[in-house]
Amino acid sequence: MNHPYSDLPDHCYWARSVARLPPDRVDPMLQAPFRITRSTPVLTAGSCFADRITRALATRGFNLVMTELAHPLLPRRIAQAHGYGRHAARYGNIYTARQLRQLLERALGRFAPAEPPWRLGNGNWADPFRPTVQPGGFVSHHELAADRARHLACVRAAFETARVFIFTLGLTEAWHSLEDGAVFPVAPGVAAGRFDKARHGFIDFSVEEIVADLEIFLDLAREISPGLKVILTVSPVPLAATARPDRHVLTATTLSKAKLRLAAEMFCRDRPDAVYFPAYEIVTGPHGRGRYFTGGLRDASRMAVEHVMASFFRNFTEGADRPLPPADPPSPRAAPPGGRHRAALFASSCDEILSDDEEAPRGRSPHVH
Amino acid sequence: MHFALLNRPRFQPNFIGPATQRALSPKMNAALEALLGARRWHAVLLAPLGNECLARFLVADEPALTLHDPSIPAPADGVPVCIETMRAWLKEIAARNAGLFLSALRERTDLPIILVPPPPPIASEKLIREGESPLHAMLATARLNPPELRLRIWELYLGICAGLARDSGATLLRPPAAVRDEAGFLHSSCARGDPTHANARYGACLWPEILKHLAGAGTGPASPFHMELST
Repeated sequence: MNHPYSDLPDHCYWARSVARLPPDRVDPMLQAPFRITRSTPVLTAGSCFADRITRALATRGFNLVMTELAHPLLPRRIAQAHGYGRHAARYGNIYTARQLRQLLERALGRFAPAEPPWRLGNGNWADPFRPTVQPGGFVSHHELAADRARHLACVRAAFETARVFIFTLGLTEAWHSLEDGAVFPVAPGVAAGRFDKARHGFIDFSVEEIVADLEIFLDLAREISPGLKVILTVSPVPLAATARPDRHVLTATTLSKAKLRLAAEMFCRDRPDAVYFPAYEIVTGPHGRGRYFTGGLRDASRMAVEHVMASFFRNFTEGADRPLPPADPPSPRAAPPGGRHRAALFASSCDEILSDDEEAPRGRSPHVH
Repeated sequence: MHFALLNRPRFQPNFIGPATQRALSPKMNAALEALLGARRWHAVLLAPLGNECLARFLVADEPALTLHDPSIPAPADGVPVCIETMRAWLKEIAARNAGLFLSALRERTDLPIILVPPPPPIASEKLIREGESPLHAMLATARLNPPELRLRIWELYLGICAGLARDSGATLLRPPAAVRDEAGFLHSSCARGDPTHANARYGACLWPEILKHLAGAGTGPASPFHMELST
C-alpha cells in the first residue's frame, strides 16, 4: 500500500530512529551544510551549556579562537577562576540573543549603554554586562573602563578571526535598562548592584524579537567577518527561576525553550551558512531515560554531553569516523612566559620561592632566605 | 634577650609537596618544635621567603605584565591584570610561605608573632643591576618591570600579609618611614647590592620597631639587649 509515509527514511519514524535504538545511537542531526576542520577558527558563546561544548571542542584539538588571554605568568587556575579561557573573551554567559547582539554592537562602537557600574559588597565595582567574570570586582571605575575597553577590542578581534560561530541560546527572560534597553545577563541586585524598578525592567523576548536580534547580530558580524558561518543550539538546561509569578518554572521553561527552538528554526531557514544543531533534543529527548540530567535536574550529565558531542563531531567535522587525537585544552593564558631571567633570578637567590605550579623548574636545591 | 635563628641548611628541606599543596617538611616541623621548647621565649619574629614577591615581579616578561592603573607606565606589549586578580595570585604566594609558617607556629605557641614582610622594592635600575655576580650579569641585559608596578604589587602583598597576620593573631611589622624614600621605595642607603634584599642598615632600622612591639605586648625587655644567636 502506498501512502505519504511509506517511502520516508528511517529518521522520520520515532520507533526506528528513537525508541528502538540504544540511547547513544539516537542522532537527530541529519545533514550539516558545512564542515569544520581542526584548523577552522571556531568561536563559541552562549549560556552555561556553551561551556560544555567549548571544553569538548578544546579537548578534541579544535581551533578555538581565544583573544582575551590572561598574562602568561598568571597561574592557570587563577586565570580560569577569573574568566579567562572559557570563551574567546571574558564575556561570561550570554543568555539571550539581545545580549549577543548588544555585545557585538558595543565591540563595534555602535552602542554605549548608560548603565553605570554596579557596586559589590566589598566596595568594588562589577561590570553590569559581565558581573561575575571578575571575582572581587574592579577596584575603580577606571579599572573597569580600561578592562572593558580591552575586552571589547578582544571581542571584535574574536569575530574578525572566527570562521564558524557556535552560539547556544539560553533564555528568553531578561532584565534590561529602561533608559536604553541594554540587557543584563543577570538581574541587578543578584550578583551585584541594586535593583531599581524606575531604571530596570523585565522583558520576555518573543520569537520575532529573538529572530530579529539574531539577524541584526549576523549582519554586524559579517561586516568584520564576511562568510561567517553560524551553528545555533538551544540550551537544554531548564530555567533556575522564572521572574513571572503567574507561571510555574516548568511551564516557563518549556515556553522559553519552545520560543528559542522556533527562533533558531526560523533564523536558519533559507540560510545555507546557518544551521541548527539539535543538542537540546539529544539531551531532553525521552531516549535519555532520565540519565541525561544530574541530581539537580538542570545540569546535563557527562553522558549527555558525550552524546551531544559525538553527534557534533560526526556531523560537523571532516573524517567523522576518524578519532581526533586528544589535545590540551586551550590555555587561558597568553604565549609561554619569557621567564628565563626570572628563573635565573630565583635560582641564584632563593631557590624555593619559585613555586607557581606551571613554571617551577626541576632539580633545584631548596634554600630559604 | 636570646635569639635563635631558624634559617640554616640543616633544616632543609623546608617544604614538601607541590607548590599549590605545599606543607612544611617533617624536618622543619621537628625543628620548630625543638626550638620553641628549648627555652622560654618572648616572641617569634617571622620573615619567611620575603623576597619571593619581589623576585617574581622584578624582571619584565614577554609580554609585559601591567595593571589598569594610570600611575603605572604601561608598556605597549603589556597584558593587564586586574587588581583583584593580582590579589588572588599574591594570596596564593603569601599563603604558601608566610601563611604556612604562621599556621605552624600558631598551632604550637601563644607567643606574640611579628611577621616581617619583604622590604619595599628598589626603584633605581642602576642599584638593582649593580654587582659582580652571575645574577647581576644577567640583570644587566634584562628588561625590568617599572618600579611603580613593583611598588604597587609589593603594597598589595603587604596588605595580604597583614590579613594573614591578623588571622593568626600576629602583627605585621610595616617597614618604618626611615627605610623608604619619598615615593615609598627602599631607601638607597638600605639596598645592599642585591636586587631583592635589603642590607644590615635596614635591619637596624627595624629593630626599634620590633622592640616597640614587644614592649607594647609586655612580653620582653626593651633595650639594651644581649644578642645570642643559636640554631
